Amino acid sequence: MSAAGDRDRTSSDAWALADQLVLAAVEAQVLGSRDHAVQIGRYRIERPLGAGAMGRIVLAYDEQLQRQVALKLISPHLTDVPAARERIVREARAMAKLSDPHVAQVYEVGEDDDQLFVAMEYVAGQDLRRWLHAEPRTWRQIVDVFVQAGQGLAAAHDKGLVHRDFKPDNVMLEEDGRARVVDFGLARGSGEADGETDARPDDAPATLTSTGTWLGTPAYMAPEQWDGAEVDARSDQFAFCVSLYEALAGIRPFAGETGGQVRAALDRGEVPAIARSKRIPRRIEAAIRRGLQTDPSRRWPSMAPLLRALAPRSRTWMLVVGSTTALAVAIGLTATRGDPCADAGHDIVEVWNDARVESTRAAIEGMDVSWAAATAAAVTPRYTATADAWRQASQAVCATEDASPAATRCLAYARDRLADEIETVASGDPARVVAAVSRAELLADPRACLQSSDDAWPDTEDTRAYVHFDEATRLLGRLSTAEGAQDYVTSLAAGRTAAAEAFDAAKKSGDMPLAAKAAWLRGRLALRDSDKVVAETFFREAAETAAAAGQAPLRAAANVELVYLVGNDRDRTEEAESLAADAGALLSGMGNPPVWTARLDAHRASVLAHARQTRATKAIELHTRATERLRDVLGEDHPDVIIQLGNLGAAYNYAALPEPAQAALREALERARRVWGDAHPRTARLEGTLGLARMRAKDLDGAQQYLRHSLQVRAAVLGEDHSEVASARYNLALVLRMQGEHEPALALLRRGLQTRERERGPDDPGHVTWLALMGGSELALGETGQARTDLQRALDLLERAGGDPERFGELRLMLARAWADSDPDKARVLAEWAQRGTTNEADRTSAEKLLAELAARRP
Amino acid sequence: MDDDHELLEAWRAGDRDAGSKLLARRSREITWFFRNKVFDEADVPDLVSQTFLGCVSAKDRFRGETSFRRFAYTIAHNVLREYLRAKAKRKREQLDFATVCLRDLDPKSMSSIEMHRRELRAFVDGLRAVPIDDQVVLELKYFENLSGREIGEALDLPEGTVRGRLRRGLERLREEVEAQLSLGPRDPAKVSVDDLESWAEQVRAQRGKP
Repeated sequence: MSAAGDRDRTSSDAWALADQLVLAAVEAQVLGSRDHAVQIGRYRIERPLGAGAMGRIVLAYDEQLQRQVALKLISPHLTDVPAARERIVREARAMAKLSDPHVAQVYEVGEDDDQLFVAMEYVAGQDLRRWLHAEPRTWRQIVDVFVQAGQGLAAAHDKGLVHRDFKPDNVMLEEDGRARVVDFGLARGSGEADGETDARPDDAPATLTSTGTWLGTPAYMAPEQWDGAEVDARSDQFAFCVSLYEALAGIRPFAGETGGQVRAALDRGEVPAIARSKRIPRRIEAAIRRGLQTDPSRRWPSMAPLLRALAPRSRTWMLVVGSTTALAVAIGLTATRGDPCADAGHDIVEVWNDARVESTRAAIEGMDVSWAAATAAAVTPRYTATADAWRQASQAVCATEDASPAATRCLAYARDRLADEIETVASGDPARVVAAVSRAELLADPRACLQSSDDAWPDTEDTRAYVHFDEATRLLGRLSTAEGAQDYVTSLAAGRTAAAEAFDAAKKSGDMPLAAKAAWLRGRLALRDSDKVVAETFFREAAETAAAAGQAPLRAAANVELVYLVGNDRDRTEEAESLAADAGALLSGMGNPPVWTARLDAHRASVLAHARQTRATKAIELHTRATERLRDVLGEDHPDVIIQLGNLGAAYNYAALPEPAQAALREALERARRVWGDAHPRTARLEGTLGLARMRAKDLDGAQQYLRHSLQVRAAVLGEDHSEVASARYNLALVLRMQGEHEPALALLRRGLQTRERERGPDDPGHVTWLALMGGSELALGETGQARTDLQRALDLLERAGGDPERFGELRLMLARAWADSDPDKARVLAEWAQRGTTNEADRTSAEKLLAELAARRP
Repeated sequence: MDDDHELLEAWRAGDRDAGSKLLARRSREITWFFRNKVFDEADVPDLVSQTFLGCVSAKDRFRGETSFRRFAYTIAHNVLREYLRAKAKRKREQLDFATVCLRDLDPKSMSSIEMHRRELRAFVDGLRAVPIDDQVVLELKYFENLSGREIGEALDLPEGTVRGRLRRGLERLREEVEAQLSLGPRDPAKVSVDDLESWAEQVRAQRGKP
């Protein structure tokens, strides 16, 4: 029983030392000085400070440097194994190299008579847990302290160090309010340290911290830490968020009396919403929730963006009073003294004030994206205008004798939405900011509240609905940012789920404006997912819900999206045009906001392009105008501008103007590469369009190159079976066929059709084009049997769907060729049909030629 | 031989070394009296100090006819009660030491006795779920290995009372440790009195000889 025996022996040494420490402290108190002073290295122990995960911590005096230090006496059972001991020493040395105002400094690691110790800066003060319990703290105070502690963690993470046991007890607050993280874990799992297996945390009380058997405190431990998996900075982030959640909400996110219960709560992964009565901004709650994700990859990538999301606004609040006057002057208030409504609408200052203008601008401009400055310049005046309008409306309501309560509720709601939007943007997260201008244009005008008489305003807001909504917004935005390339498909799926949850929750809580916005988001995400039919139903739902809730801007936005979707169908051109007219009227009522007006122009252009009587010149004109407008507002490199430039290029291409098409597309591609990088599906899409323009310009090699790369990137990011990838295969096949490369073209077509069949079933009329190309290539390769099968199938599908005569002629002609050798009679019948039926001169000539050939073969 | 008595008298007369010797000889027992009854390990030295200061100043109450151990434990016991009352004051409750346990006073607190084996941990933590009067008696039995008679002497209690508390405390402790060691309703743990004895022995072994 060597292991157990060893442990007992070393543990008893530990108790001897512990008891000696008590004795020394007692001597100092009772006798005035120590007779049994405990000396470790050059440190004289003064008194115990507490027990940490790795052993007890004592206050000691450094005789040499004449200063107090906190000495961590590493539990002997952690250092029994030489390798574990070495690792502790190594990590302590690494910690000693870290110097940060929010981390207690590690001075040295040493040993004395086998006792390993770490000398650290002694932080006199209160630990965070006690500070939280001492008196009620506002959320701003709490967040401020946590952000400081988080900066300490971030500094350690930068050096590759992980705390492993972050919790409020391990944050010390000095008198002056400075927070410092203490007691960085220096060892890893207990299993590595001493081979002990009976002390797994799954059955341990949640509060057990000082056993030293495992590192980490169950209540704060990330799931991966429970599982004994690799622990990294994101595990600290999790513990940080558990601590912050607990501090703000007063309860733990994953509750349980015992470790087992905590574990079960973790597995469920559900975090209760923080009570609205706590008045925690959703921005903060959403930021914490993200850090509490079970899957580390779904948390914040590091502490830095999390801390930015929590960004201490507390300092800006101090300035509120000072800025009030400025804002009042800006609005042009002429309230006289004694006017009871002079202060009405003053609340808006809490949401938007000089300091907030600056911090929001700083947050946006702090992002490492080229479109940041333009976005900051575009959104801040919109927020100011909304805030001003809000104040005016509030004063008007105040001055109205019998103002309806609906108006007041409407105003409260509008104020909260403005606050939400500002919080979202101030996150400095590119995914959340990328669509900020377009969202800002849709902010409801608070003055519309004066006419509000209905019950559109919910009494209570469902926080979860807003959290899901924020998440869906982020995920949609992520599809347009550079970092979105890696997880495009998962972001899309998760975004659709989040948007659906936001929609359901909003609807259930009677929050119709939010439901409308969520429906709109669902539509956008479905569109990104090439799910056009579903997207249309969502946009219709958004338009109707917005109309019912009196949200004109949102109704306008939904209609703009519908213009595109309906206009795609050449049988519904008229409907699309009427939607466009409706959207145009709404937008003009909103003062023609540039982004949405541009979007409407672009979509109208797309209607013209798809209509039976295409008007290519008008389409190009609209696209050009839209491009200019977006460029002005959003800046040169904004994703929306790049995409619109691509639309313009595609329109030129469609109008058979390959030169300007290539110019626009080359510019778009160049910007796309700079903004998104080479491996982003959006860059790849532009490459594809440029490839088609090249093909039209008869530069087949160039076209092939672009189309091939476009396909590769999209297949890698979106998956081999994505419908967009199928289209990319089709386009590449077109070029290859033109180059006479029928074999690879055929392989691409077959693979692409497989995807389409999986998506749309075997009988989709859209397969005809594919089957026709395949049949053609098969004929060229002499695979007549296969050609007969594919072409016959195409013909059947076409007959069922009812296609135009040219198509029939072309197919019959090919099929006739396929039968020419094995059944010349059948071939002749088909060729005759083709000749009679088609209006295409070339096909008719070919048919005649074939008939002549067949006649010549006759004996 | 009652050297303790002489040392204390000398200390009271101003002989600092005598005080030092007495501390060296007796502090460990008193330390362990408090060790499992505090909410923060850092409180232990304070409580031990208060106990010895109490011994020095309480002239009237110690005249040599009782053993020093009984004298020191009596004072330690008072110090403990004061400490717990002060802790409980915030909760504005009248403390009945025969029913209230440490865990009631602070459900989140835990033993400051580090144990690495799961059973031993449950054992020392379980003691904190036993009514304080019974915990005092049980710990003298388990940590100091005192008999019922010795405990009665040390605490100035009739032996019958001690036995009653031991019986009651033991039952409570057994239930508590079983609950802690159970992995779920379908896998209940069974803990016998002998198990408790053997764990106590292991704790004493880890504590080592003074």
